[in-house]
Amino acid sequence: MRKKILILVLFIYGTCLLQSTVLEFIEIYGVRPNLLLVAAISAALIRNDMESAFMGLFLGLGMDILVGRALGWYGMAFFLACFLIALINPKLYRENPLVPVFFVFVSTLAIETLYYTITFFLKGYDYFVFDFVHVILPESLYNAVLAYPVFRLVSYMYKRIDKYDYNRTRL
Amino acid sequence: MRRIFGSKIFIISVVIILLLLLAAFTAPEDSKLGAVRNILTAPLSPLQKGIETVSDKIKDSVNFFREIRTAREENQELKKKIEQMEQELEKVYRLEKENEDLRKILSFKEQFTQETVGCNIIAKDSGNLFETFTIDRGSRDGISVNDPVINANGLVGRVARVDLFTSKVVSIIDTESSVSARLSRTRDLVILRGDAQLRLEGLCRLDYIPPDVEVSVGDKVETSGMSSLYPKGIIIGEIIQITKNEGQFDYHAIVKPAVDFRRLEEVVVIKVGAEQGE
Repeated sequence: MRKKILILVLFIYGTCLLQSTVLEFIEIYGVRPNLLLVAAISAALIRNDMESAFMGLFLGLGMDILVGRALGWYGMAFFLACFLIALINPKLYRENPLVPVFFVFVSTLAIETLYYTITFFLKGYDYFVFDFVHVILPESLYNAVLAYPVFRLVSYMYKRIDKYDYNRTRL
Repeated sequence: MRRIFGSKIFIISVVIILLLLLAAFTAPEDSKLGAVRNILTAPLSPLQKGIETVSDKIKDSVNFFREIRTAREENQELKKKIEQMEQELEKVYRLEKENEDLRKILSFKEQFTQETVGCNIIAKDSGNLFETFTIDRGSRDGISVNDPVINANGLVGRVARVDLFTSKVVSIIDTESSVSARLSRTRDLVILRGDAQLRLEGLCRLDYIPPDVEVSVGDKVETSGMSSLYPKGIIIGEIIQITKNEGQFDYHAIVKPAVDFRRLEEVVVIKVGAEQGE
């Protein structure tokens, strides 16, 4: 259990590090994918509801810190999205690559729109349509492209964690 | 009772309430609770610095081969320019001396008396909705919220959040940024803002230009010193387009900042807050 938490914490730090540095090089027209969001949704498709909700919460808080505004909005959005997706994940056929692609696309649209509404729209800032077309939509598409590889990586990580837990508790 | 506390709905509601409280308390830029961010930023900063150094090296060596072709021509051009500039420099020295003497006579208060600190940019904005970046100095180096950030060319932005080892800088092209500015030629006061559409091209807009002001393309814009945030006379950029607001008397203009935000690597922070604060 302790080792599992350590691995997950390292995973969160590693994703934050990649998000803030290396992803700069794969920006297209100033839009970079949101690796933390893709990782959170991937976890939500694999694990049970409470575990993925908290995974989402911590990845979301990481995003909040990286963005450098008030803490908590991304945290809340990731938390809720992961919980809801994890509730229905037993009914999904996870081997289909379109499942992570679809869920990442839809949840990026939803989360970024929610975040935009909270940080800008409520202040009476009315460029929503422009930002939706030029920032949120491209980001969702970009995230969707990354969804399947990241999903495979995350499921591999969880498989290793489970195997370790199983070997330890077998006796 | 146990069933209530154990239920998922209960846990989720508690987490959401805590997050709302956290958001409310960390919304002010100088909030004390913001220290929570150090959990992530402190261990991350040396790694970010390392990655940034390596990537700069790679970029440099790639550019080396590309630039070697144009280097000779550029060299000759630059030599000519240096000759010209040396002559101008002589003149500037003379003027500076003169200026200093005159200031002394008038007992003028000196600008830029504040201490400055050079910083490297170690991470660019991680989200897509903002124009912020992370620098490798924090509260430990005496940086405080709202310190102006400049580089050799002009104004870059201001410090928005300070952590122990790093700080977040909001650049002037961010949609939430506004700077009290002045047209260098006509001395008129205007307001410089970030704009959702222009920020993607690295530009910003100038608002509230009164109709009687003779403004033209190519005019320089500088900080006014009217707000306590930025010192007076820092170059911001140059006007590249002027448009009349529909149905209104005043104009707005598009400004190309003197700083190239896409190629920014090092900046200088002027420690205004350290002097005012204590």
